[in-house]
Amino acid sequence: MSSSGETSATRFQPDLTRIPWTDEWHARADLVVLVIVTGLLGLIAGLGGVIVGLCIAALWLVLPNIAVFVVGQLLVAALVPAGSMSPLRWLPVVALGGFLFTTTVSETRLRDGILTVLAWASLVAVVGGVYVRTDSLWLASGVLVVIGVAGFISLSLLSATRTEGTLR
Amino acid sequence: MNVTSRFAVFVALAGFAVCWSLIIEHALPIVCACGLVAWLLVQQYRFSSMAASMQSHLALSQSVSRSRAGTDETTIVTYDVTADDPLPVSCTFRPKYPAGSDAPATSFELSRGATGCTETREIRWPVAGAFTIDPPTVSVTDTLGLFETTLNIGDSVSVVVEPRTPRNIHVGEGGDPVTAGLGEHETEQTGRGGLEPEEVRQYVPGDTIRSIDWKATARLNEPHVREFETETDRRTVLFVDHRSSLRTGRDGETKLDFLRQVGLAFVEHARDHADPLGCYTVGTDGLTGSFPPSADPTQQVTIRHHLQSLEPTVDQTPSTARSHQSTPGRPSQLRQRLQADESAFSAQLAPYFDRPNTYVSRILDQPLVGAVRAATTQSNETLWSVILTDDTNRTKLRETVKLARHNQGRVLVFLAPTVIYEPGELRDLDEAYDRYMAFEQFRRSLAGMDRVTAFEVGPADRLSAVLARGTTQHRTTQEKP
Repeated sequence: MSSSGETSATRFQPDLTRIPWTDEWHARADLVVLVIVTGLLGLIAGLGGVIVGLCIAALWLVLPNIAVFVVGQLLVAALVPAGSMSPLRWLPVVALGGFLFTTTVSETRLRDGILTVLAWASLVAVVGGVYVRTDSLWLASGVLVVIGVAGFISLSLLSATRTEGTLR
Repeated sequence: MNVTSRFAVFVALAGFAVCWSLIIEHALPIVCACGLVAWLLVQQYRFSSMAASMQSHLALSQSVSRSRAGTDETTIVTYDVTADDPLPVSCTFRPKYPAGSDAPATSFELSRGATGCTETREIRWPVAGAFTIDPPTVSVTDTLGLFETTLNIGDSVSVVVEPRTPRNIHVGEGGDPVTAGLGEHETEQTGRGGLEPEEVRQYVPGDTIRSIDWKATARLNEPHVREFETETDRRTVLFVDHRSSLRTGRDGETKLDFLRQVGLAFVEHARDHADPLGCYTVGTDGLTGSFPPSADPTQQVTIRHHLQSLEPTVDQTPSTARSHQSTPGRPSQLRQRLQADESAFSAQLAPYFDRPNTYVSRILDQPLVGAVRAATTQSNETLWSVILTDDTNRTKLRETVKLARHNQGRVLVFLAPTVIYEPGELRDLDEAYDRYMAFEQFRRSLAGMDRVTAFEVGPADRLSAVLARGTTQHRTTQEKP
């Protein structure tokens, strides 16, 4: 059972006597991420953090990794107030990025996962830098949107050039 | 590259995270949105690279079982897909068929990890023409279902669909097929202007020394000269009758279908020899096509297409009005009798017979006759007229042939005998044989005219059946005491 973008219908296995997903690399990596996230949340928020971690694990059983990443981030944001974001409290956020990594890595290409993490880090650095400089969430959000749109258009044009296919 | 609805969902998730960040004034959801955007961009880049790689490593070839087919026949299109490496994602191939073809537009798929497949599809061609089968549309979607694109691979193939033609065409005289093929045209004019040696004859005073054939002279011990035959272009005009009577016959084997093949053979011959060719097609209401003689290859192609598209016209006039066939002698006989009679009856009728050209006018009003007359009188050159028609209007046909001999022209008449084409299995062979013999008599009468050659055209099997019946009849008659 793979955890790479699979739907809940394909992931959920009612037969607990056999857990095939433990045999696959992606699933093992996802379990490691879950353990780390749960542990960090417990360290930061105590029992509440552990419960949130277990909720994230339960979501992982039925949702794709990306959805778990998004929901996990929102749960961490709800768990940790904005004013109390110390470097330690950012660790669960970074750990949840492990789902991005495992989703992107394939059997033969490790670099795509590394590329994803690096792209995420770069975006966070740029957007975070704008936020720190201007103290404006609106501006930081706007910068993120512009970067996203520009990246999408650029890659679409690149794809059209390389495949000589239909640019829709 | 096209995005799917699933991509839109993730974009909406990122937008929600940004909005949530703005609402709760917390920077953390923006970090989540950054992660989503980064992940989507990397996925897009991965898909773009994969699609480019597949375009270069995937090969598609399509072939047809035959490049020429007849209408309502089918051809098999084979799609052969090969990949250098196992495919990272599945591909969907949607065949594209030209308008005018009839084929199921079912797609086929090459699954992830496969290295090739072969698929076949059957296409039916209800319409004649030249068709191009474009390569199928190859659609590729990534494993996460976020993007899809089409690849341009494969080449087009062409299929030419020709109208169905009769199979066993017989062209001959009295059941004997014509075996000699067409060759270079002979003018039957001899002299020193040609290239082909015609004959060797004895030397007469006046012949030049240059024309003496020394081999023949040495062999025959007397001076002999060799004459050469001049060659020239032959201006040929086809007169193709496609009136309603030419519809007789089975589907695909009507009189017009057989005569059409003869006409097309003349078109091909004129094209091969670069001879001027003209064509006049005649329907019920008159001329339906007019092409004066020309050696232009474009016109010859046009004539070919025009002949292939001919269909028998619909006859609007009542059949009873055409059933009466008069001969040219009958009106003059009646006029002479009326002139000798002084009764009131003859006085009343005489004015109607005082127009001696009524018969001639009626004949000239006929479409085929009119077409021949117009074509032969327009040109001062000698024409080879090829008339393709049936034996329905024998009197008018005779007049047509006479007109076609204008200006020392030669006439080839190809006649489709109605008795051979009539539907049914020739149940009464005796009657069929009698009618065929009447036709043969008519054909010989035409062939007996100066500079006229007449042939019969029809299905060989039916003609053989009729002639065999005649042979049996003849044997039976001979065996009777």
